[in-house]
Order: sequence, then structure tokens, then C-alpha cells
Amino acid sequence: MQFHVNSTIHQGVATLALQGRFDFSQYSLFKEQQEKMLAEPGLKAVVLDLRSLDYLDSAALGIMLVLLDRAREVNAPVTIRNAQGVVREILDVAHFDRMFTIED
Amino acid sequence: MSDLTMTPPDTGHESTPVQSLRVLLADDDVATRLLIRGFLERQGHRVVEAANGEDALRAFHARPDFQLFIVDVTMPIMDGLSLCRALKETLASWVPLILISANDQENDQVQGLDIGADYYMTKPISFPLLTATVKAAQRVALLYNDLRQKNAALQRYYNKNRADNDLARQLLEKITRAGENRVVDAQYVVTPAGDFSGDMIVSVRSMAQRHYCFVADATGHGLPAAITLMPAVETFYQLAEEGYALSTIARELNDRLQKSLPRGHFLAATLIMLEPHTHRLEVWNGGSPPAYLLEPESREITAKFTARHPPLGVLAPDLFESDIESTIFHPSQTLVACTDGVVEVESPDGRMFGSRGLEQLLTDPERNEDLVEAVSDCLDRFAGSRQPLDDQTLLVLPLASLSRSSIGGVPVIREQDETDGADPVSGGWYFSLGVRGNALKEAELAPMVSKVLAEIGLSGQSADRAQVCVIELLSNAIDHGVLGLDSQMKHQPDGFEIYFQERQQRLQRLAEGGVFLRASLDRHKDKAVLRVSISDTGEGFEDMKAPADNHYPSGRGLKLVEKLSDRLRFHDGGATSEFDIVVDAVTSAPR
Repeated sequence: MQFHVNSTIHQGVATLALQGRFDFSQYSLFKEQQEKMLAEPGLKAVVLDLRSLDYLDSAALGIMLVLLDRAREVNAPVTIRNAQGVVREILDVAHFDRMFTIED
Repeated sequence: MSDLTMTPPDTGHESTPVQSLRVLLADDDVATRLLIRGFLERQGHRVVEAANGEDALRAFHARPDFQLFIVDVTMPIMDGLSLCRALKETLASWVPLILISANDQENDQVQGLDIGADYYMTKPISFPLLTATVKAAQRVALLYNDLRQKNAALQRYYNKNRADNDLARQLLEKITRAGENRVVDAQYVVTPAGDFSGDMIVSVRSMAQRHYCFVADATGHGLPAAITLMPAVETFYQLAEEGYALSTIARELNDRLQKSLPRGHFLAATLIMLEPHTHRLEVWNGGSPPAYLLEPESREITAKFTARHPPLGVLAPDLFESDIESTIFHPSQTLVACTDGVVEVESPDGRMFGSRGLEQLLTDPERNEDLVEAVSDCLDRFAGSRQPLDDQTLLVLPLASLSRSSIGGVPVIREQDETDGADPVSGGWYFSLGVRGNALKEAELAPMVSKVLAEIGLSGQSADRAQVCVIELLSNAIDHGVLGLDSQMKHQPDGFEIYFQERQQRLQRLAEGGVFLRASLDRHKDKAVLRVSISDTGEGFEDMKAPADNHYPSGRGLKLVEKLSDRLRFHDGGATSEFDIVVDAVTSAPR
């Protein structure tokens, strides 16, 4: 499935819902949405909703770390939500719970 | 006569000026030439005339940058069709060519278009049609040139990408080739995806006969991957050759990568240390698929080392955890490690091979005995027609290949500190102490050593650390080396009791054997290094059997020394142990 980012903001919480395969080639698409959300006034937190994500590679993990750093600059914690199946396994192997809050 | 003006192709820019074309007009009929030339020049074009094909070619070769050819079919000396063929053969890019002829024989038209003419018009020339044809030709030429430029840019990009990729490969080949003589007897396979995608296996045998392997997978492909790998491989070689603890190597790699790499670049890695004389196996796995210890006969997985850490280079030094997993291996076993390219191979219907797929294969009693072949074949079958997206890297290390017999001459205690070649020793102290036979019964070596160390300027925390290390290594040397006690005893019920009783009895009977200690405290520019070597007359560690509960022989003691010292090494197949403690700024002169 085509990679897609659907970003919404509600009461200061920006949600980036990812869809499809997230890899290196999606960097600019993701970054665009990321920067749009981070520029929102009154941003309090960022949620990465991975419910519809099929796969992510190590470059995508790296892109998420970049988001974490950028969000930290505006004091917004990043939560990963609804990671399932292979996506969850990849996050577990990389021990992303050390850097992100991971919620089901 | 039409006064239609040329308008450029619809590019969306209304103000684009009329493009003036340089036209080569070849016709033997002067009247036709005058007519066409007059018409084109009124529209802003520049026309060069030729009376036959040869003239036209001459004009073309004199200055070839024509943007339109108008060629009459019937001409003396060289006719229009020959001219057309000659031009089209010579031109490097597409330039429109209009063939004109007095007759509208279908045959001529077909022949003209066949040899490369783009448009065909019959005499008498209709100027509105000529205008339309020139416009159409211009439009196509613009499209063509645009495409050509984009194509060239793409080609340049592609070439650069290829060159970068080759450079990445060469850089890494060079690093690993330099290390070829250090490679332990491992079988492995790296199946590269189309581009170099950042997988690498390096292995090193240290001075103290420890074997180290590093299975790494860098983020990204090509040069970015190589940039991540290069400092890591260098650091690994340096530290592993020196025999540093695996946890120290992991920490150093992480800190170095974290410091030097941009955020988002990191290295998934499995670090492995094998000690042939103690049969100790250590693994640090950060972000890689599990590594396995496999019993080849029964096809059983006896240990599995899953990732306990994020990849190297992700965590800041204060958050990094260097704790390793360890177990005791048996030489009949095989160690298997891989990168995620192996477990993430996809089948045509989108299923993933997974760690489970690999485990199933490893334990399959029917599989090919050659593991590398077995895995390669299985992955090929699984992937079917799908091309691998990532490198597939597999390390298969039969542990029998590490047996002690393969170890050559072992270095004994060295006189000079070789770790600080760039930082010369400005002075220092050393002393030796030995005790043998029944004198061991009453010897209190550790306090003696501490006293001397205090006398020569070692104090505070460093002195405490040194004392613990000396005590631990001395008791190992006496208990296991001289008295030949087996620490497996401790694992029985009431083990410690039995162990100490046995120890007392053997000590009472002791008539030969001994231990030998050499300590040096060398001063460098802004630090001092304490090195203590402790040898015994025993046979080293080789005869010790692996206890069942995954603790290596006298494990706690050595673990403590490893933690407290800055380096712990073994020589003489375990009969000599040696630790270093780096002391910050020893300024006080000995009292």
C-alpha cells in the first residue's frame, strides 16, 4: 500500500497517522507533515498512530528519532500508539520504548 | 501571403518571445528558395541557403547548430533523400527536417519518412501549412530538448549515485581486507541487495586469544551506510585486538557513533566475544535479530540472544546500557547470527520470513547440514521471484574451530605498556612478588600488595579497586591454578561448604606450585596506569568444565575484576591474568 501520512491536531495534540510502508523514500513526505504539526501554536504532544502501518525499515526508525528530537525542542513528548504485528516487532527489537512512550 | 506570426509552443508563459530558428534551406530552385526564405525571415528566422545536398552538408559541417532543415527531394549532385539520411546519421540530437517535393507521390513520402524525415510537404508550398508545420516542429523540439536535459540530469545523478555506491563498497572492502588476517574461522554470507546496503561482518582474535565478531547493519544505503560503518569498524578492531571487555567495546562504539553521526543514523549490531580457554560466550545485541547457539547434532537451539538494547549510536552515553548476556558454550556447538535482511525477506504474497522462519530452519532435522547453504536456499525459495530489498547477512561460526590447539605462541607479561604508544611513560615503579610451596599456606599476599601500592602513590578509589582485583585474581590463581579446585563444586547443594573444606585440605598438603605477581605503576602525561599480572603454575582454564547454570568458572570474581578494572586480559591460556587500572593525575610523589 502507498505510504500516507494523515495529520490532525486536536486540543494541542498532533496526531500523525501513518499508512502503508514507511521507508527511506518517504522522508520528505513525513518531514513535511512533521514540520507542519510542530509549527502549530500551542502544541503540547505528538502521537504517532501506527495502526495502519504495514512495515517500517531502519531508515524510518531514524526518521522517527529525528521527529523525537525536533519535538523535544518545543517540549512536546512523542507517543507511539497502536503498533501491531511486524511493526511492533521492529520497534521492540530496536528497543524504541527506551526513547518513546509506546501505547497499545 | 500570410502574416501569421510564429508563436512559441504553449509553455504557459505568455510573454515568451517568438523563437528565432536557424534554418538550413536546400533547394536547387532559386525561386522557391527566395519565396520560402522571404517568408521565414519575415517571421524572424535566420535562413542559410544551399543549392544542392553537397552544399547543404558543407554548410552544416561549417556550423551545425541548425534548428530546422527544409530539404527538396529532387536536387542535382546530392539529392534530398541522401542529404536527409546523411544529416540524420550525423545529428546527435533531434532536429526537425521537412522534406518538400514537387509531386505528391505516396511512394516518395513513404521513402522520405522512412529514412528519417519528420514532415513532408508538396509544392507549391502552402504558407499557412508551412507555418503550422514549423510550429509543430518547434513544439516537438522543445519537448525533446526538455526531455533530453532531464534525461541527462538523471543520468548524471545515476552516475554519481553509482560512483558513491562504488566508493562506499571500496572503502569498506579496504577496511575489511586489511583485517583479513584477523578473521576467525567463520563461514558467512553477505548477499548484497542491488545497492550496497550497509551490512558487514568483521572478526578479530585478540592478543589474549579472545575471539570477537561484529555483525552490523547500518541505516541507509551506499555512502551514508559506509560513513556509519567506518568509525565503528575501526573502533571495533582497535578495542577487540586489545582484548577489551565486550561491554566496554559496546559502550565505546555507541558513544563514538552517537557523537559523530547525525540523528537518525545508527547501527544495529550483534557483538560477540568467545573465550576458548573458558568456553565463555558473551553477546551484546542492539536492534538485531536474535543470535543462536545451536547444537548441530540434535538441531537444538540451546541459547537465544535477543536484542536487549536499541541499536548503537541511538542512546546518549548516560542512557546507554552495556550489559551483556553470557553463557558457556560447548565446542560442538555452532553460533549463528544475522542481520534483519535475513528475517525480513518477503514472499511473493507479502509474508515475512521472520525469526520464526529462521528458527524452524535451524532446528529442522531434514535440512542441509551446511547451514550457510541451507539458509541461502531456504531464503531463495521463500522469496520466489522477489528481489531482496536489503542485504542478507548470516554468520555461522562452528565453535570447534576456536579450540585451543589452534592458538599459537602466547605472549607473556610484557615489559612495556603498549596501550599508550602516543602517550609515553615519563616514569614509574614496578615490583614483583612470588610465593611457592608451603609458604602459600600462611601468605597474605593481597595486603602486602596494597601496602606497596600505597607507598608508591596509589590512593583513594583506585587503590580500593586495585585491592579487590588483586584479591580476586590471587584467589583464582591459588584455588584453580595451584590447588586445582573446580568451581563447579560450588554448584552442588552445600557446594560452598564442600569447596572450602576441600580447599583447606589441599592447602595443608601443598608442597609445590606457586603464584607470581608483577605490578607496575607507569606515569604518563596526565594519568598513570597500574598494571598487575598474576600467574600461577597451573594449567590455565582449559580443564574447567562448563557448569550447568550458565555461570562461567569462578565467574563472579572475574566479572568483578572486569567491572572494576579498565581492562582484563588473559595470557598463557588462562594461567596468567592481567588487569589495568587508569589512575587520573597521580601527582603526589611517593612518600
